[in-house]
Amino acid sequence: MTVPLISLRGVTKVYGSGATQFQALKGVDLDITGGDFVAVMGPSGSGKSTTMNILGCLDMPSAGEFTFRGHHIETLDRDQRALLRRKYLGFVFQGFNLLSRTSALENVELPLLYRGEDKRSRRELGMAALDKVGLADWWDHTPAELSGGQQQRVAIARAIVTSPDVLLADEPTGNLDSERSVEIMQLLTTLNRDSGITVLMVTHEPDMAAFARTVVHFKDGLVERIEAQHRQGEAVEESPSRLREGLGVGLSPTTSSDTGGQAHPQPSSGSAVPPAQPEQRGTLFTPNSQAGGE
Amino acid sequence: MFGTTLVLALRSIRRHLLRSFLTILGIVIGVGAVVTMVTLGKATTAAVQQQISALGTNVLQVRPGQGFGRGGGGPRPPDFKPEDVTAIANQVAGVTAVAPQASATATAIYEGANWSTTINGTTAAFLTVQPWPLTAGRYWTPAEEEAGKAVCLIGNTVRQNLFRGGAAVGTRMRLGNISCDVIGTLSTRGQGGFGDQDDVVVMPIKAVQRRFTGSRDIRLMMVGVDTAYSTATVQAGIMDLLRERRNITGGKEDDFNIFDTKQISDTLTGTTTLLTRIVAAVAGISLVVGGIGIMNIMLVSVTERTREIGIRLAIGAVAREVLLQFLVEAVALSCLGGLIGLALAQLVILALVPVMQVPWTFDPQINVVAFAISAVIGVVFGYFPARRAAALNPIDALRHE
Repeated sequence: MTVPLISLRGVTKVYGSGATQFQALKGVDLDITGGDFVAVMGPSGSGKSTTMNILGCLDMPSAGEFTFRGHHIETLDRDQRALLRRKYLGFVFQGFNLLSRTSALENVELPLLYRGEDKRSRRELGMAALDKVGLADWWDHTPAELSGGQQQRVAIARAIVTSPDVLLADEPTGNLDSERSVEIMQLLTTLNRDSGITVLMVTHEPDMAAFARTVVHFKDGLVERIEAQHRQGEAVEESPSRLREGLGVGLSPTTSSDTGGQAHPQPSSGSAVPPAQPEQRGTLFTPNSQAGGE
Repeated sequence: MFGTTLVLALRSIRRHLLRSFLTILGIVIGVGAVVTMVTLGKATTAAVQQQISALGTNVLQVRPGQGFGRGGGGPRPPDFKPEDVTAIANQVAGVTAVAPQASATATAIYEGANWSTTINGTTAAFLTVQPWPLTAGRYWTPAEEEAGKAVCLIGNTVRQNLFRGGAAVGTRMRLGNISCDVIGTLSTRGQGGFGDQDDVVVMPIKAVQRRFTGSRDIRLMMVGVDTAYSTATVQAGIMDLLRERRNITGGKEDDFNIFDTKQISDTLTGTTTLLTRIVAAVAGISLVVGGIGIMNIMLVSVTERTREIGIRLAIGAVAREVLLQFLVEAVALSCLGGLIGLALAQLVILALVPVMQVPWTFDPQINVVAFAISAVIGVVFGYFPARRAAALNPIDALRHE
């Protein structure tokens, strides 16, 4: 087990100032291993969206450390973060967020435009991505001519067309009926398994979270607990061996508000007692969410 | 990167054709107005210059008195004598010819038609000073001029009104109290700075003096100036000579004036040029208003496309690229407006040239300048909305409804 792909240490986020000040994150510690499929859950205001924005390099932590591939992101300026998003990240939104009056292919090609790909390679890569989501025949349709599920698949094609390391999905099934939702989740699962893309997904539907390997629960600006789970139709044994090797015990679902006095950033592993869940698979996460936010 | 943003900008314009058209309407009208006004203004100036040159360039007009009027009280300054004409022709350097003129007004009658016109008595030098071709007939001979015979050349207006377009040469018409042989018809000169130049009958000066004015007085001398000399030098020479001949000494004022047609030409040209500039400035204001129109629409567009900007930022566009996209879009729009404006101006000019009776001209300079201004307007008025778009926070932009 090497350095995690993404690592948060003591990350806080404060909005506003003075009387209206609101602390959205109170010291989040989180490690995410490359290739994982993570569902982030929690009630509104628990900090899951704020965390996703920070993980997506769209927002900056007020304090704490955020490393991606070993690089400190909190030191990057706006444009550097944009370039990082361009190179390593893909986004899928609840509202699809496709450009209207723009064909599916042109939507998918958009990130390639910013990468400076020429017209031919844009077209090839764009069509390949549409093919992966099963919409190659619909390339010249505008979003208005596509169903919600199809629109979300175009959005996913747009997110993966640059072969990113991480796919961030913010309630990707929030606007879809359950049947379409399952299709989208199956698509994300396939991409995760076959292309090795790390998927981070915010959802409030347990049914959708069930597709993930790891579920992170947020509460009151802290990581409340982390559970590793079987993926549907996937035996425990199939999970990568690295997950079972050492380092594992990092999970400290000790909703450590009780131990509040501890200073953070708290070294992840070791201190906490691993939960008794049999499917527990180790060190993907080191929540240790301190009750840091005094 | 620039090529990419240009592609993006053009796509966006194409996607919103109607809005794009409405956006550039102000620029179209502004550029069209400026180019039309300046082109027509210059054409008018050219037309005026052309008419004035019909009066004769390098011609000095010498009259008794100060200015055009006879002046207020005091004794009337004497008219010139034939000796003055000879003296100027012989003694002032740079003079090609001096044509005396004695004028009268009379009614011409031919077969029941009558027409009141100006009789212009002069010498053959008149044609040297200001060549005036004939359409038919001949000039008078030196013998006829010396004898002061009643022969005449008639202007086109007189011919039209008296002879109804029929043959005039060889006929005999009444002119005031005398009969007069029509020996030639003059070609058309058109409207000059001082009325219809073709409403005239030209006769030997001695005939006019004897039969109409009753004196040897000369009210006007037209002096031709050699092109090798400046009119100012010749003007000074004539002034010195006439002061001497008219016994004007010391600080006494001249009792005659010398008028340079070039001065009239310069004055009138200056006036029309000034008018052109004023009208162009007014049209230029509409260009600025057009620019503000672009800024308005671009600002609205930034607000309306907040989500789109959020998407672009999220998938990795840096602020500079978003700024450039909107800036290029504004410039592309205003340049497009400029081009359409130029085309519109050509159509309007083609339509107005016959109505205004000015020559058609194409002035590349104003077209280039107007187009350049439209591009600059795109940059200036596009920058503010573009900067606003680039400064958007991607998270807020994505949440924007």
